[in-house]
Order: sequence, then C-alpha cells, then structure tokens
Amino acid sequence: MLRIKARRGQGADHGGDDPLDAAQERRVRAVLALGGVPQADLLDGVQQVRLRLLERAAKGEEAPRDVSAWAAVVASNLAMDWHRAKRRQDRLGERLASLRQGEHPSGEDTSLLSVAVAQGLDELPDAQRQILVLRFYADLPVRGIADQLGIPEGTVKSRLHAAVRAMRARLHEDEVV
Amino acid sequence: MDALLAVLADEPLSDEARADAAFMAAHRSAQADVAVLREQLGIIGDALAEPPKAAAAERPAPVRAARPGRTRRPRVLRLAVGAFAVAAVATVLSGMAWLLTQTGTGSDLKSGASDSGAKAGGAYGAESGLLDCARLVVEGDVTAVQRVPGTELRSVTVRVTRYYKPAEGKAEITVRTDEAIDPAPRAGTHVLIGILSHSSAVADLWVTDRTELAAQRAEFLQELTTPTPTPTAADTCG
Repeated sequence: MLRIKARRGQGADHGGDDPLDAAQERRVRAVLALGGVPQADLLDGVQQVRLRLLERAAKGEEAPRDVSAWAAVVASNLAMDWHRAKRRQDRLGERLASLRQGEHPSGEDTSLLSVAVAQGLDELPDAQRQILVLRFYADLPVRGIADQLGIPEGTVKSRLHAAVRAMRARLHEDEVV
Repeated sequence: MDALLAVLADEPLSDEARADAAFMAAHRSAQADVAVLREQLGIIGDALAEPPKAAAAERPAPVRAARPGRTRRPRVLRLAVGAFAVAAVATVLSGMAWLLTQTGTGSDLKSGASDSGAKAGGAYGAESGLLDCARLVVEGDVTAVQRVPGTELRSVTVRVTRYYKPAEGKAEITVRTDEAIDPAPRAGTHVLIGILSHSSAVADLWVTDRTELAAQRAEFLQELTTPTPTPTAADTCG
C-alpha cells in the first residue's frame, strides 16, 4: 500500500517540484489581494495559479519565460473572475485600516495615504484596477501586459491613463498628496 | 502631448515639450504622483499578502464522507478525494490515481457543510491507498438542471472549467445526481463533481463549499508536487 506523505505545513520550504518559489507566491498573494480577493481565499487563489502552471507542463507547453510576470497576470485575472462571479469583494480600504490600527510605524500621514490609495483602488473599474496593479505592483512593462492579456498596447495605455488619472484626482481631493 | 500619458508611456520628451514650462511642471507632478502610487501599491500589496498569524498554522481540512452504497436512498453520499498521485515525474498529469477514503460506517453526510472536526491526517489511515477508481472528476459551473422523469435523479449540465480525470474532455458535460443531493444543483453554482463507477453515470462526489473545494485542490496539488512511489496495490475499485 502506498504510504501517504505527511501534509506539508503552511510556510514550509517549497520542494524542488513546487512551480512557485516563496517570493513568487507572496507576489501572487499580493496581486490577488490588491484585486479584491478576500484574505480567506488567497491561499486557494495561489493554489489555482500553481495548478495552472502544472497544467501547462502537463500539456507539454513551455514554461513561461518570466514565471513571476505570468503568475501575476494569472492572479490578476483570477481576481477579476472573483468579482465577476459576484463573490464578496474585499474592500481594501477597510481591510487596510483595520490592519493599520495602532501599528503603523511611519506615522499617521503615511497610513492615511495608504488607506486613501486603497479606497481609490476599490473604486476603480476592474479592468483599470487590473492594469494598475500589473504595471505598478508587479512592475510589468506596458508591452508585456498587452502580450499577456492579449489586448492592444493602446488599450493598456488607455486603461492605465484612466486609472492613474482617477487615482490622482482622488488623492488630491483627499489632500493626502 | 498629455503630460501624464508621457510619464506612463515613458516616452522621451521633445525639445518643444521641454521648452514648455507649464508642460514640464505637469510632467514633474505626474511623475511624483506615479512614484507615490507605485510605492503605496507595494506597501498595500505586501501588507495584505501577509497571512493572518492566527490562520498561519491552519489548513482547510477536507471532509471525509462515506463511500456511497448501492441504494439510491439514503441522502447525499459524498466521497472525499483523499490523495492525488502522479505515476512518475516524467509523466506528470498523464496518469493519475485517486485515493478514495472511507469513514467506514456508511453513514451519510451532507455535501457543502464543513466538518470542523475532520482532521487533516485522519483519513490517511492504514486502509488508505491509491486507487484508480474514478471515471470522471471535473470542476465547473452548473448551466442547467432537469428532473429525470420516472426516476429519483436529476440531470445536471456543467460547463467544465478544469478536468482532473481524464486529463481533458468536452467543454460541457451532463451528469446525473440523486435528487436528494445537498446542496441542490442550481444554475451558476461552481462545483467539483466525481463519478467513481464505470458502470454508472450518477455522481458520487459533489462539492460546492468553497473551503472544501480549496482543500481538495490543495490535496491535488500536494500530490502533484510530491513525488510518490509507483503504487503496487491491486485495483480495489468496486
């Protein structure tokens, strides 16, 4: 009889066969969270990204040249799907405010700024939020985002422009910048 | 040229633009705001990516249910997929075996209800093994539900989002479920469905609860990424 291996605990070192390393996993979690996926569902989102990488391998497809970038795009699409499925979308502003209560080391100004940015993200349309996160959190270039999402570069620039314009307006209105 | 767009596109500025004081002021302002946004997204993303300390040691525990009996009643019979093993590293996902776990008494459990008492290691007892039993295991979204006249069954159509067994198949499938299955199938529900028997088209596995679904995926993933010896047990599918 096959002896089932013990379940690995969360946070344990990933084995050689794990398609995501610790830093990549953390990045995927962040992209999911920035996309509004609730905290309780982040782990499942990470697992789904892992499974998709393994599915690619199983189909004989080449591994993505930049696994980190690929994983960030997959995670951002999962976050969009989450919202489309009308699941409860985490309000980043509320979650961040509760995290920051009494613990922010940089002072209240930075905390207010973070909450304002988080609230601005919550108000963005999903497509703009996705592009903003991929460009300024995942650091993907415009062309890379266009290639990964299969949309024209002009569309990426247009959504990015609209997103940043809305965020700037919000931050200036809130007088945090 | 729009100053913000110039910043976002990272375009070099023309001499004319550089000579325009108002444009350059707007450009610098846009650069500063973009830098703030970039910094803040990093801070926020990293903060939200931290797992809550209280939950760091927890893993969702799969619910263990009885192996289905041959009778249609009693109510929902659900199997927990205990393990997902790869035959060889070189053929990852090309051959899969399922571990089916029994709790032994044949008592029925509702699918969809979490069993907080289930322990992660509890099902992996000495009786467990890898069995190549399942005929079909997929994840997908229910698109249609119909009663099957003259039976105690429902016909459920599912748009498949992921195949586990076999490795691939049609985009849409129709399976039958016991009419007493819980929760009742509804259009739009995301579900993990499994059929064990090669002589039946009635679903034995029906998981809709997100926590349980996530637990099952985690188990599949663990088996996919943990090399296991080739099973030598005889086929015990019944």
